[in-house]
Amino acid sequence: MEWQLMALIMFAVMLVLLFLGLPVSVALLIMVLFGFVVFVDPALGVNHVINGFFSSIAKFTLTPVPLFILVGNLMFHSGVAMRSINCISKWMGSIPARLSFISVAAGTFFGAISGSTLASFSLLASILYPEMRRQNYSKAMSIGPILASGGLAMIIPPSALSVFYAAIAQISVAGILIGGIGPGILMAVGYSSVILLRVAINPSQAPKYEFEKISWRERFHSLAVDLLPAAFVTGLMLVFILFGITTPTEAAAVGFVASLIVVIGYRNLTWDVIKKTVTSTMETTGMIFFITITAASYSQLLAHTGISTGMVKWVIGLGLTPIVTVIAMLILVVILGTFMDQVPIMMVTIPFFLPIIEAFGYNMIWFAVMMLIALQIGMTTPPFGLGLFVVKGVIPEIKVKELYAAAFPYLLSDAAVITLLLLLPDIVLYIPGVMNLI
Amino acid sequence: GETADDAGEPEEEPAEETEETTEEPAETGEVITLEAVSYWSAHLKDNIPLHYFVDKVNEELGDRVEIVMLGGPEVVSVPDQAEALNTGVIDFLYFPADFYIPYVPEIDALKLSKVSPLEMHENGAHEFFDQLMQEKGNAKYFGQMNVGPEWFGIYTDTKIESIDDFNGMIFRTIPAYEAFLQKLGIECTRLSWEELLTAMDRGTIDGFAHSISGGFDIGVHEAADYLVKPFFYYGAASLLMNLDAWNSIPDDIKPEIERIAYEAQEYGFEWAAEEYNRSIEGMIGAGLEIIELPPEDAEQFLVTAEEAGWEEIAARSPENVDRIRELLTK
Amino acid sequence: MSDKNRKEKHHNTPVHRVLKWIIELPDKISFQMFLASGLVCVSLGFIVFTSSMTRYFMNKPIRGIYEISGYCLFIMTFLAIPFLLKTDKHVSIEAIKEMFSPRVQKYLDIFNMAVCFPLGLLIFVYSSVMTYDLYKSGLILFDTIEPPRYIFMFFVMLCFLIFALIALKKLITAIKEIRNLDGDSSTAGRNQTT
Ligand code: NA
Ligand code: NA
Repeated sequence: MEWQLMALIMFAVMLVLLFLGLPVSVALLIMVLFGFVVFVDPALGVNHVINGFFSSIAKFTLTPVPLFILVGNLMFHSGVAMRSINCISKWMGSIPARLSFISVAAGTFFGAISGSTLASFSLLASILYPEMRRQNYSKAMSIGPILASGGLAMIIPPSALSVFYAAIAQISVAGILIGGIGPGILMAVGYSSVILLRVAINPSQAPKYEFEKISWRERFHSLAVDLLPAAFVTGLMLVFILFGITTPTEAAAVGFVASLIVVIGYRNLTWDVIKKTVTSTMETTGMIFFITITAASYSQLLAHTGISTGMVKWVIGLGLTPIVTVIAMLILVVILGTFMDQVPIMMVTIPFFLPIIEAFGYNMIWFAVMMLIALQIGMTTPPFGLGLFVVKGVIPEIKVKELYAAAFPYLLSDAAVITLLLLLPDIVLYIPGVMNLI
Repeated sequence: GETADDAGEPEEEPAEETEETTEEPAETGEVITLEAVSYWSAHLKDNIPLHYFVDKVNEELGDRVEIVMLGGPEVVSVPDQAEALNTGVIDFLYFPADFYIPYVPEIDALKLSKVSPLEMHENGAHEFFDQLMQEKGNAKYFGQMNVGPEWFGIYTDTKIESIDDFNGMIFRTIPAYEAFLQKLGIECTRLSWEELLTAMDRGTIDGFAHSISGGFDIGVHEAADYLVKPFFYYGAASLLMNLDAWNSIPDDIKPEIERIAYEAQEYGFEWAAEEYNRSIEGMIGAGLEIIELPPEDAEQFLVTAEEAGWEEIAARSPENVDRIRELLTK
Repeated sequence: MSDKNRKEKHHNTPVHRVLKWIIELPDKISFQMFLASGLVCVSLGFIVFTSSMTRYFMNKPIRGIYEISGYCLFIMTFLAIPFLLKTDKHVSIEAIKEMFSPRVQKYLDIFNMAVCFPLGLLIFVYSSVMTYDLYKSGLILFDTIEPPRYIFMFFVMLCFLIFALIALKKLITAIKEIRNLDGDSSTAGRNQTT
């Protein structure tokens, strides 16, 4: 059978199942079973898929995924992350749109400790939003920055999704993690510019308010007591990697132990915290890994039936310039991101994208980081997005239209960052290059 | 609608055959299509002897048998390849045969061979392994291609001066030579390939072993300063075919395929030697320094490698170890 | 209505209690499995940390940690999957579904569980046979530990057995709910749109 026909049948089956609201993992599993039985081997298809479960998931390179998520959740549920927000707040003087800037700063800082966007969104929305509302911040200046900066956790290392990407794409874990530092900072700068611009145009969106004057002594005290212990988690991981005590992958376990030490140090390790942390970690991990299992079969099915090669040849045959193709891919990711979760998008598109990127001779890490930013946009674009769900959970009365309006300017900032990376790949590649990772 | 091709098949087959062929979309039942998968990704040179085999079969027997190259690990992931061949999801598999150890533990002994894969056809070793493969592994064995002696080398950042220097070092390993490295007093750890460079750079590990061949292309020399001589073990990529697929081929074609496989082995043996030299020269050119162990140490090194290997085989297959040792020793 | 009365009457008979216990068993097991998966996850962190420490500070890597970490990832996933089905934590695309009326959405729920149940059953049956075959043949995994493979296949079997049972239970619940919806669909509709 022609690959076009097979592709059409399989994608049609999958899309129908997905749109009917079947879990992504289940829809993929059905399509994979169907594809292998019908197009590959009627007798052995099911066994082949089940046999593949083990190798798709029992991979050491995936170890940081649950561990990074665990660290994020532990810091959030134990209140350690809240302490760091308090400290940032004490240091943030009397500037316009103060709370919006705190959101970006906290998102950046927590992003550098946590590898879980879910924990980041929950943290910012549950802690900062009530205060923002009390001070009469507009939606654009409250929900906007929260939605924007929560996503930084998946670009700034550590990041569970970056590790996941590296594992699927079989590229350097350290390379993709470190490659996110430059763009992550740039994104935070972009969000700050948006806030600055908005508050300059319309100061009433973020009214100035009186807050307790804080002495320098207290600021430094808070820095030492509230912020440094949290920074210790990332610091210890970095030290262990630099001294060669662990590899970057193993460092996730160091982060876990360090966060445990910090939480115990605050005497916050209650049974309740443990329960919440482990539950939320396994909810996210189980969901991601079930999709991983099915999606690994899916990409093998595409390769086995010749759909991947056919598609790659077709795209290259279109005669588009490489850079236009890359832009088209990123736009496709953003579009998919409006109604799909990050993990399934990666699993569905990476098997197609990477051979093309490779054929064009582009750097894989560069493309990976840009794609991660495009995926990150998807978390805040309605109707489907992790960030939206969390924010809706905290503010049930918010309307979809308001979310659009609040998030939109920050998405423009992300688009500007991606454009910059397209023009200057060194923003991604410089630091990994210096560290001899690429 | 039976064709002359089926002449060699047993009499009772036709009834079933017609049922099967009517299900096929095209009525070109004469050409049997077989699918091949490789352990190596398509862009790697390691696949060249396989392509020689596939192209030649398609060229010479194309009107009867066609082999389709499906690809590498993107089609069947490496840990699942042996199973896919064993059950028949794929028809040909080109891979390091130690992945077949779960089915045919004796196959591990190929790394200890003193006999070239071509000589194995003369001293009965090839037949012996083929028989084992058919009995235990549901596979037809076509032998090793891309093959050569002194396959693996030890890469390290430490200037090794005697065999005792290995004691207490930490190496990244894979199962093929772990028992040997442990005998040298090396502590073995496993890392993903992607992290090897970082781990060497930061001193997480002191060294690793890797094949000489192919090393230059994937940049092994960038991870270490020295390559220690002597090199050890016979390395190879073997070609297997699912036994049911083999049995379904008309009998008159079977010897033809075996002949082409033998030619591919001849080709592969020569090609591998050139490739081996190209790789080692490339790595030296890129700054990798070769250090030789003193003669007595070198001998002890190789004896230890052999002992460790044969102890493994004895543990894996006590009943066959003596026969195998006889076949693989000149 | 008379149906309902009959149900109440039999509510406390021993047979009913046993039945109830059996019906709730998959939920309970899935929760225990979920707890176990959390335990495996936390252990994974400690195992990997310990092995890096002994390697660096005592020059003694713990053999097999690389493989064991992989086993942990595999086992924790298959222990978690059924509970996530029970609590609706498997991510899905709600956007299209939400455009339909609550009644149609309920039908979609029925459809989804009517798909999940046979799927779970299919994989359970296949993996049972595969577990048995692997147990009989004694096939090992090709790594430095070389464990028997049936151990891992067993977790697939367990996972999809519970998965299928939970799907079945949700299917029955959804069918019951759609019957109730006939009576008061207007209020349900109002609840859904907020
Ligand atoms: Na964002
Ligand atoms: Na992060």
